[in-house]
Amino acid sequence: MLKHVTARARFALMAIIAATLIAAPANAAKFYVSNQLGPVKAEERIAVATPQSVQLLLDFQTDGVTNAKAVKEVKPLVLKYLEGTKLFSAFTDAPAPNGALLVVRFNNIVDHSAAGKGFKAGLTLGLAGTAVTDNYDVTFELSPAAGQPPLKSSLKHALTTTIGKKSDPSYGTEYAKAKEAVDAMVGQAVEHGVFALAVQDGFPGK
Amino acid sequence: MKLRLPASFAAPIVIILAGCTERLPPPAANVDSVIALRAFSMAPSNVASFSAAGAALNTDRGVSVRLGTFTPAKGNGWADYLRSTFIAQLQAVGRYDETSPLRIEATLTENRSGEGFEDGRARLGARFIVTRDGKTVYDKVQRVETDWSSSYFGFVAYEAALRHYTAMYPMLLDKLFADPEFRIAVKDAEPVLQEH
Repeated sequence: MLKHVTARARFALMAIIAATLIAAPANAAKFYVSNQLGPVKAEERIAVATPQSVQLLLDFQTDGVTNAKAVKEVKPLVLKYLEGTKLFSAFTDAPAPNGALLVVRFNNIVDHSAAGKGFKAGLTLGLAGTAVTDNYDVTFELSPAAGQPPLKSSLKHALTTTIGKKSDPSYGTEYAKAKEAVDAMVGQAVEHGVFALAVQDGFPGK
Repeated sequence: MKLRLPASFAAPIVIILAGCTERLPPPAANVDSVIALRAFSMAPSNVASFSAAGAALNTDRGVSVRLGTFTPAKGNGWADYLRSTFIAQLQAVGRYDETSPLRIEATLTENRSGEGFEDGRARLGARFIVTRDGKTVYDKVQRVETDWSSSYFGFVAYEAALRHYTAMYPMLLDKLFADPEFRIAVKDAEPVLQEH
């Protein structure tokens, strides 16, 4: 899972493998989630009186183009964190009875030098350490009912993968596994994004 | 020191190094398509048979990029993938009905993907026929094309091609949904207003 999310990290790692043919040792990869968002604070986790059901549409893009495989992989994470907010009563794939529609869109901005960095790190068996950052633009649009203008919020987040480097907290909070880092990045983005919608007038169920 | 490779990285590596075939997951509802469909009143429709013809027959089972090949679900071709994409969009707006007298059929007429070391390019075209109670109300070919920056690195080129190629399917449908003639052909019957 999540092989399509940390695209640059994967490119870099695969470049290492291509360069070393998996025969030579290298430093382990480390994963960092930027501290620019962090977990949502308790006082920011507002509640709504009567949560409503909503149809959820998720898009996960790479450089503005939908990444169909990543959508499938990320959707369970997005759902998990949306449910945790308790701002909605249910999430549906089909239209919700009230016509409410929530669109969540991640756009992964690619560092096109990532593969080259990984290749260099591989050729030097990890001695030439490298860091590749996945930047994400995340947007949220909630149409409270069919025909109504959407409430909107947006944010930025980042996930950095290092290879051949010692731990460096300047990149953010370190995670041992890519899966854990992606989970944290997605969770923080989703929670900040929907609570930013919930404070706006017209949020369903307030 | 030891190279620790996440298990999730294994599949794409195998694809790229060993030249395997990767099967795509079923298509999901596309945000832009759903928003487009919500903007007009489309009648519940049956998405009937989709097939490939002509040059599109040659590529209906898979698209190859460098050493990798991606294909739709087992036993299906790209015409089936287009049909599944269509159904996913209609289901997301509650407009898919297998019993509807409004039937949509399509023939894939163009299906190409190629890439060099610097640029990739793909084309997709289909003839869409809409019938209402057996009478043809729409018959038109729609086509889209897309270009992208490729890479000397095979795995980067493969992922870019896969992403851009699969994105053409909802793109083709979005072009169909935007066609005023199609909108008229599939328009839902206006409710009759009763004066009291």
